[in-house]
Amino acid sequence: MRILASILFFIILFINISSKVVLSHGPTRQKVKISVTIKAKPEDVWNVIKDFEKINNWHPSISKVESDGKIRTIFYSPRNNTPITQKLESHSNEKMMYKTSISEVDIKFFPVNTYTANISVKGNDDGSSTVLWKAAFYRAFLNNDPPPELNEAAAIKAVTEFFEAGLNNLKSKLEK
Amino acid sequence: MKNFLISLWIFFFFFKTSFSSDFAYITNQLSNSVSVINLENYKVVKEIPVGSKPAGVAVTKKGKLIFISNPESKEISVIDGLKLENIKNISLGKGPLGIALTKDDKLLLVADWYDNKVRVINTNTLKLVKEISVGKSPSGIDTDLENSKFYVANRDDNTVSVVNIKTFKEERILKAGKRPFAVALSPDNKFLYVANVKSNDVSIFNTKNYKKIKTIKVGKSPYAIAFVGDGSKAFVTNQHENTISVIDTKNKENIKTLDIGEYPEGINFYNKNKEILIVNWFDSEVVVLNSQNLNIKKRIVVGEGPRGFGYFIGPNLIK
Repeated sequence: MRILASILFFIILFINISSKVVLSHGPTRQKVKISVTIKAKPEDVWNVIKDFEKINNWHPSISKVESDGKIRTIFYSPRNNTPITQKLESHSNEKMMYKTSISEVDIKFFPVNTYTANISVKGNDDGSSTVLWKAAFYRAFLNNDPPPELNEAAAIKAVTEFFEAGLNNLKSKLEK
Repeated sequence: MKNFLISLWIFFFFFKTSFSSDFAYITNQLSNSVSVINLENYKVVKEIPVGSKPAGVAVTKKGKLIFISNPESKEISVIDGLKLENIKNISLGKGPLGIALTKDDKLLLVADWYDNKVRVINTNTLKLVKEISVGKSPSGIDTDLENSKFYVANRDDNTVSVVNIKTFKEERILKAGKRPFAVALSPDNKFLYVANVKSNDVSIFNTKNYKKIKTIKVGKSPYAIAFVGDGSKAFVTNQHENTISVIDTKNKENIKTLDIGEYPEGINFYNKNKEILIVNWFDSEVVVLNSQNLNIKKRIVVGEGPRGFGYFIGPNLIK
C-alpha cells in the first residue's frame, strides 16, 4: 500500500512538473544574434544550409539527425549527445531563411525554454554573404530565483556556443 | 500692468499648448533602461537607467510620474517627467509585471507574475495600500473610465479577474481562451478584449453582463491590443508571426494582417497624430504606423529588447 502511495505521489509530481513546462516561463525573454561573413555567393551558402533535415552536413557538433521533414531531432555532441527536437516553423528559398522552434529538450543539458530561431543568408555588395542566426528564448527555470545552471546566463551560453560552432564551421567549409 | 501680465500669461499658455508634444516611454528589457521618444520628431531624447529587466509601463495623464515594473529586481521604478530621471525604486512582491493606473491616476495596480496577486500603490504617497489575490500568473491589466473596476488576465488559469476598485474584491472570474496575457477595454468601455497567447485568438466580452460574445482568430501568439480613439478598430501584435492583426470592432472581424517586424509586443494608439506605435522586441525598434491608411511612417531605434507593455504615452513636460 505504501509503495502504491509513493508511486502515485511520483506520478502526480511528474504530471505537475511536465504540465508546468508547457504553461509558464520566466519573465524575461533572451536574445542571441550571431552573424558571420563568408566569401561565397549567397546562393552557394544557402544551398549548404537550406536542408532542415541535414544540419549535420555543416554543423560539426551534431552527431546525428532524425527527421521527417517537419520535425527533426538533433543529437548535440558537446553536451552529452543530448537529443533536441525542433519543429520547422517556416522555410523560404526566396528569402533564404528558415525558422525553427524547440519542442522537446532536456534542460539539464540545454537549459532553454520557449525557444525559436531563425537562420538567414544575405548577399553583400562585395559579393560575399552574411549568415545571421538569431534566437529568442527564456531561461529553463520557471520560478523565481533560478540556480546558476538554469539561469539566463546559462541559457545564453548554451545557444551562443551552438550557433558559433555551426557558423564558424560553415565559414571554413565554404572558404576552403 | 496686471492686465498685461494676465494677457501675457494667456498668450504663453496658448503658445505652450499649441506647441505641446508628447513622449513615449519604452521599457528596454535587455538594456535595463527606458527610451524616451519625442513623438513630434520621432527622436529619442533620453535613455533612462531603471531597475532590472523592465517590462511594464504606466504614465500619469499630466506626465509628471512614469511607473516602470522591473520583474527581476522586484521593484517599481518611478520616473519624474520633469527631470526625466529615475527618482525612486519601490520594492514590491516577487515579480511585478503588468501595471496600470486608475483613470484618476490615484492608484497604481501591479500584477505579480509569481505570487498571484495584484498590489495597489497610492501614487501620492508611493506606499502599498492593498494586496488582492487573483488567479495564476496575472499579467495584463486595464482600468475602466469610472474608477470602479479593473480587469487582469490570469495567464496560467485561462481567466480574467474583474476586481472592484472601491472594495478591492474580486467580483467575477471570466473564462478566456488559452493563456490570456493582455486585456484592453474599448474606448467606450462596453467591451473587453482579451488576447490569448496559446489559442491565437482574442476573446470579446460584453462588460455589462460579462458574456463572451465572440472569439476572433488572430496571428500566432497575440501579445497586446490597442484601440484607435473612436474605437472603430483594434490592433493586435502577434509575437511569433511578426505581424499585427487589424480588427474591425463593429463587425468584430479580423480584416487585415500586416508584416511589422520581429517579435512585436507593446502597442499603443497615439491620438494626436492618429498613429499606432508598435514595439518590436527582436528588432529593438518602435514602428510608427498611420492608423488610417496603414502605411509605416517611421522606424525608431530604441534600447535592447524593448517590450513597452502598458500605456506608454504622456505629455512632454521638458519642452
